Amino acid sequence: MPQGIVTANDMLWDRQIYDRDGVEVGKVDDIEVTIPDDGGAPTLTALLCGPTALGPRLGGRFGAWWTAIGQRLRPGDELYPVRVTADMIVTFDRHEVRLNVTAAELPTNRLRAWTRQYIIGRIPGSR
Amino acid sequence: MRGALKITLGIMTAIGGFVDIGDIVTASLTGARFGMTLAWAVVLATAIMVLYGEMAGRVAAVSKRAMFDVVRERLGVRFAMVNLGANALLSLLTLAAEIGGVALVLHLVTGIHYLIWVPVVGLGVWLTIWRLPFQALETVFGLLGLCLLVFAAALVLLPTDWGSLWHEAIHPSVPAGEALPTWLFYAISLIGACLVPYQVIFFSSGGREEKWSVKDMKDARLNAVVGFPLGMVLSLSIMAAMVPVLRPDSVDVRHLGQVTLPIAQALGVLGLILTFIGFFACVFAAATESALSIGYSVAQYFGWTWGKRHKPSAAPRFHVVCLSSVIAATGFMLTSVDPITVTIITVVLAAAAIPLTYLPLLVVANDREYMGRYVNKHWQNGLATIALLVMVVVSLATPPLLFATKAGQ
Amino acid sequence: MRAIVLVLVALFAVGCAGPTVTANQYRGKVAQTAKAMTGIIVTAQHAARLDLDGKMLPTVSDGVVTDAEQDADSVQTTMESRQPPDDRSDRLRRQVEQPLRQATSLLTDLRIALRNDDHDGERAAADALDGPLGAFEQLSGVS
Repeated sequence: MPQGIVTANDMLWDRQIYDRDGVEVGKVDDIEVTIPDDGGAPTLTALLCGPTALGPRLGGRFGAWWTAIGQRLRPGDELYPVRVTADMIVTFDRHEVRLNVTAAELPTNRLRAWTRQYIIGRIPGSR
Repeated sequence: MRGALKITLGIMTAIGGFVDIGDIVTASLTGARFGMTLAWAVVLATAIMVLYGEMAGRVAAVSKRAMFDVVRERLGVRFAMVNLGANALLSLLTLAAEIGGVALVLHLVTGIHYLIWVPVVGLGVWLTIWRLPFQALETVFGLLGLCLLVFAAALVLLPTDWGSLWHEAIHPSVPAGEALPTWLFYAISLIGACLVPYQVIFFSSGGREEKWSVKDMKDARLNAVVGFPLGMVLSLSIMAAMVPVLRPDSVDVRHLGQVTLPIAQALGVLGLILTFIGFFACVFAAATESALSIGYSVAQYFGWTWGKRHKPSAAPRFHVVCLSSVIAATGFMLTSVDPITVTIITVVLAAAAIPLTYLPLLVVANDREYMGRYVNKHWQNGLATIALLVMVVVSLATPPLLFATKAGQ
Repeated sequence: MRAIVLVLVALFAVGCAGPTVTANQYRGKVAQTAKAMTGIIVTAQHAARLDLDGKMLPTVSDGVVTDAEQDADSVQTTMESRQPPDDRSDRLRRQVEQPLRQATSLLTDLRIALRNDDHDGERAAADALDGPLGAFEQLSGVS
């Protein structure tokens, strides 16, 4: 690759995602790039989050295992990762991605909501 | 004036926070068996700790990112995952050793069997993580840890041969009747006790908890440069206090009670009480810090909300990780495995894993995009590279020494 | 990776290998035992004397002496389980076994006296430990 060219992966992989209020949403585990039907330049259509996006990047047996666990945790054993669509992104730089929605509206919120409701929320003094 | 107070407080907490069950056990064990001939290992490890502790503070203050955020961003998901696994496992073992250590201290004070104390201590550690504000944690335990200065006081009152202590410390050589591999094995255990990985993770994440910015960097630097060496003085005085009392018969220190004998001889009951307060504070704080550092590193890797600055309900996954770590470590100690043995194994494994935590820090501290004009200076990189070489040598030498000496017998 | 694990396991197994084989090694073990016992006895005596001087918390002296008693017991068990390879080693065994028994029973006496707050018994047991201590100090030079 010629010097000076930065790929979308370099720009976005593993960046911290924050929602509208600065709450952590997760990391950019992978990205979704679509080539338009008319054959134009590929465009970034979504950020992908969760174990099913991270697993393939970890690679090997461990990665496959990670993906499988992630799949079981998704509703309906969906394999395709959670999408944070491009239109939700407000800004991104080398450090972080900021969204225009709140974490609660996103499907990445399931584990957080579950642990809060069933474990942490039941222990006195969590609020 | 308030600034000066804050700095003193920071330094004092650094002193107290530097010592944990690993330091107490290895320092007293080596002091009783090898005199001061291994003091160099503590000095060397402290120098490395100062160098890298300063870097961790600077990275946290300038880049506004904690350890595992940057590890994953800079070194990729796979390396970071291996790193995360190794660090979490080590911190878990450390946590178990510290919980056992606090239980041993309570056993000595109350006479009640330590296994009964283990779950109580586990609960205490978790409650501290759950409720106690971050600064209270650092300040209260750090200051109480200063009680360990009784070891320095005892040294003055005991029939100490200062000349030979000093001579042994600056002319290190293998004492008669000991084998070189054994001596080196204990040198490595001392280095591993000083450079436990949780300290760097805790230090950098703590910087974020206290919302450090560039203007706090001076304080952070002063804490590292002054606090850690003073903590080293604590470790060395524990080591030296063993020499006049236990060295003549080269007593093999295998119990925490033995460590208190020099204190009792020099200062009596009052000295003992101070020692136990100091032990309790240091080791309990270290238990909390290692549990938190597991939560910190996992949450940072996956991009979850983390930290004690949030209410638990706002950072539920972070608290689930901390809670499960405390439960796992407590359960492990309840199997009645000997806490001192766990401690020694932990510090030796820590020695083998040192480069894993410290290499990423060095990489990030050199990254202009994160650090701007606060990147490492040339001399810092020179020293850090030498330190890294030392760490690699230590880590490669650990497994053969472990087997050759049958874990230091 | 698997090869490394196998090598490590093998090394570990060799390191733990059980009964002592040669007379030389046996002598080494006896010396090691004597050295360990010296440390254990000195620790207990120290704790007892500090206790008599009123410089100890009772729980601490109890803890130290109890630990010493248990350590001595386990040293004794290990020593007795070893098979001496020849007659000379067997004589050495008898030499070390006698002070071993004496030391463990005196440590028990000491622990009992300590818990009963019996100062005379404590002093007597601590002083009597000098006997086995001398024997062990001699024996630690045999290798």
